[in-house]
Amino acid sequence: MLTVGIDLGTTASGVAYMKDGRPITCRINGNVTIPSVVNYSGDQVIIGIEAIYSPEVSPESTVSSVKRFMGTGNMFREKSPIEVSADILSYLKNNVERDLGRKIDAAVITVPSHFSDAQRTATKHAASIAGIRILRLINEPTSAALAFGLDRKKDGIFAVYDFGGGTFDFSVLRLRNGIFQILATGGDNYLGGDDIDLAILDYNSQLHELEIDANEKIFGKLVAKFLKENLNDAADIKKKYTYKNRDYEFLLSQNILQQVSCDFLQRTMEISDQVLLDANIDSSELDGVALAGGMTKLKLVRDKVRKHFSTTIWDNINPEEVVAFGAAIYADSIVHKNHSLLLIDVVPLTLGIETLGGGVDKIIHRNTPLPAMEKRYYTTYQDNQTGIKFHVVQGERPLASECQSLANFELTGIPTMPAGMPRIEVKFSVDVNGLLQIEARDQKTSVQQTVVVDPSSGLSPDKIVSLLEKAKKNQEQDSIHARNISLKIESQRMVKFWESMVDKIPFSFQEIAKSGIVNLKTALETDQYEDILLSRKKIEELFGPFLDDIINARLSGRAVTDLAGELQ
Amino acid sequence: MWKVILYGYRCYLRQGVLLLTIMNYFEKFGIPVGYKIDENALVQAYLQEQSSFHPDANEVEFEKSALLNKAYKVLSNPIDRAKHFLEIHGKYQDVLDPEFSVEAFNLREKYETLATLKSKKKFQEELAKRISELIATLYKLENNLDAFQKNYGLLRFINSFLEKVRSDAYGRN
Repeated sequence: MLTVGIDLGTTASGVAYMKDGRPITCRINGNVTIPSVVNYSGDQVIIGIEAIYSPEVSPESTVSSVKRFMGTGNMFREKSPIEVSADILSYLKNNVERDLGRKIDAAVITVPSHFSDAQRTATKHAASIAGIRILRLINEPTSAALAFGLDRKKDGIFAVYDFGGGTFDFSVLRLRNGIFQILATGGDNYLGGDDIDLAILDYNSQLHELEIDANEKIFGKLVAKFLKENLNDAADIKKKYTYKNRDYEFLLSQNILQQVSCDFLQRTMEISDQVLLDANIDSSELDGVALAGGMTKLKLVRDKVRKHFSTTIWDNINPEEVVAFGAAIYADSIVHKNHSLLLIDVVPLTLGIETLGGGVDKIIHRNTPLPAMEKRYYTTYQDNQTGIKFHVVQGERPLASECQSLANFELTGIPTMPAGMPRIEVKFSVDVNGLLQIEARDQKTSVQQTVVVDPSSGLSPDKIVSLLEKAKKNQEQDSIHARNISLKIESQRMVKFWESMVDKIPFSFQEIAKSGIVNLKTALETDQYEDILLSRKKIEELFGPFLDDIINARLSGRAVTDLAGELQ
Repeated sequence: MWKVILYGYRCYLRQGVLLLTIMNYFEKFGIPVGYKIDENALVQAYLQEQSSFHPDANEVEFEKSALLNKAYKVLSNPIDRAKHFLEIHGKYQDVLDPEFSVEAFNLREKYETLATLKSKKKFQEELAKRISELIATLYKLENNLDAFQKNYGLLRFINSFLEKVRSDAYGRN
């Protein structure tokens, strides 16, 4: 039995599990994370690095940053965000199960702390469709805190600054005797490294008076990302970008980086200050600020955080792995009923009901500890009214129309009475996953209605049921035979991928790589599944250290080593 | 007015009608009833209770855990705690004392005249400062419930006014 923690990120996803009391990352194709990118070319689903770089894929059938659209009705290549996320989760699950030779029994999946009920519900559906039993949904910064907290074994008041590829979250928490009590949280689901990559790309396309097609932007952004991540202390860095068979030189200097990311960083600090205010904690009271999310690898970001909070910075865990680590720790703690560890998280956004004038009656305020339960009483405003409509919203704005709409429901069957006589009790419960359930009851007649809030997510309830049934069937059929077939198809695709990459690795490795690929091909032709696994592993190990280089080479048409020479 | 104490709940009988059933949150955590509290003792008691009743530790106690959360939230916040303190003494009223209505009126007037983001931000700070002052006053009035009630009325007004000002200024959502 295997329980894992899954960090389903906007731009990158990863899995970790516990071994000998420590969390470790399950490497996939040699990397700690895979890009959260899915390609739907023809009837194939290609995921991760391949979805970007494989010669078979076309950019217009590639879906990236789908997490930003969770809980909305947006569709990609006729797939809802839930289905795209489910494909990413399935890919992670299959790879990990094959690597460790064990089936995943259950998982803790992380979500941005700022995710609304709609987005959490969508994530839960995605996991069910991928055949993963969810132990808990936990918030990303909380998860990072768990990983650091376990590491430090120290009590106090801490903050987590979690700046990822797509989202920013900030949480303040108290750690005492293994209990992680979140005091307040806040964030922005549309603020991440992705935005900075785009800004760098925009800057360069303006420089070259280039108008890049929306479909092609994914490659442009990768060049921008490369520049951002490799600038370090250098004054500037250049990289070739090929667009419509013409070469352009993209540039990033310390000044440009500062200029394009200034507003974004400022916004993270404003959010952080607001959260500290909500937690009623002065920044001088903080015993430390933990860093999570890929963006905190940038020197610019770390310097800014250090300057803003003037307290100890915790950065000794890789910010790309730390969220999955925390999830693995908590998954393990729940399964083993390890009572030395407990999480008390909070409601991220105020939940309320629309009032007659279009305002919001706030029922559960943001930063209320979970689980939370509140009751309200409503009545009719017209004589002989037999139903009351409720519109449930989430958000901080004063008008219901400016908040996110979660559900509409109607309590019917109220006996005819003069206005104001009925007494309708509405009970709001938010569970530890941050998921809302509403029960409405007419106290006089006991007419009762339970509403499981399932907001518009691009999938009709029927479709969700049918996908779930399909997922269940898949699991039943998930015999060795079925797994072997999927292994074969995937390996055949990988062969093509590696063959296209083999001349990009150092010359001395090329012969071994080529013979490895030949071995794999032979194994594939003769259906020797043990051999397929073995030779795949060998090739993955061989390519692993060069993968980044290969990708960069793929991007610009030349090797990174050339580039390094140029920079000197 | 009648006052009945029953199993840790207090019920108030006014004009023969049962009005309120207030659970005493102080007793829930075994800390003395008072506006001044030992915050460390509160946190300690709350976390102790949650480690037995939180759904991750105990699957069947959802409501109990939710109630502990609510009680903790009320007691840990000086404004909610003031209200609860008044409620369990049967002194809670949702009115602003005439003595303070001029101050409240002036604040409203002032907010209407503010145009710039900066001045609105400064106004928020002013309100926050006034709230801290009023909380400090409440600590001194713990034994004078009538004065406590009046000051609480103003505190409540300013706090909900600040919430409104903040939510007007709240960015994307």
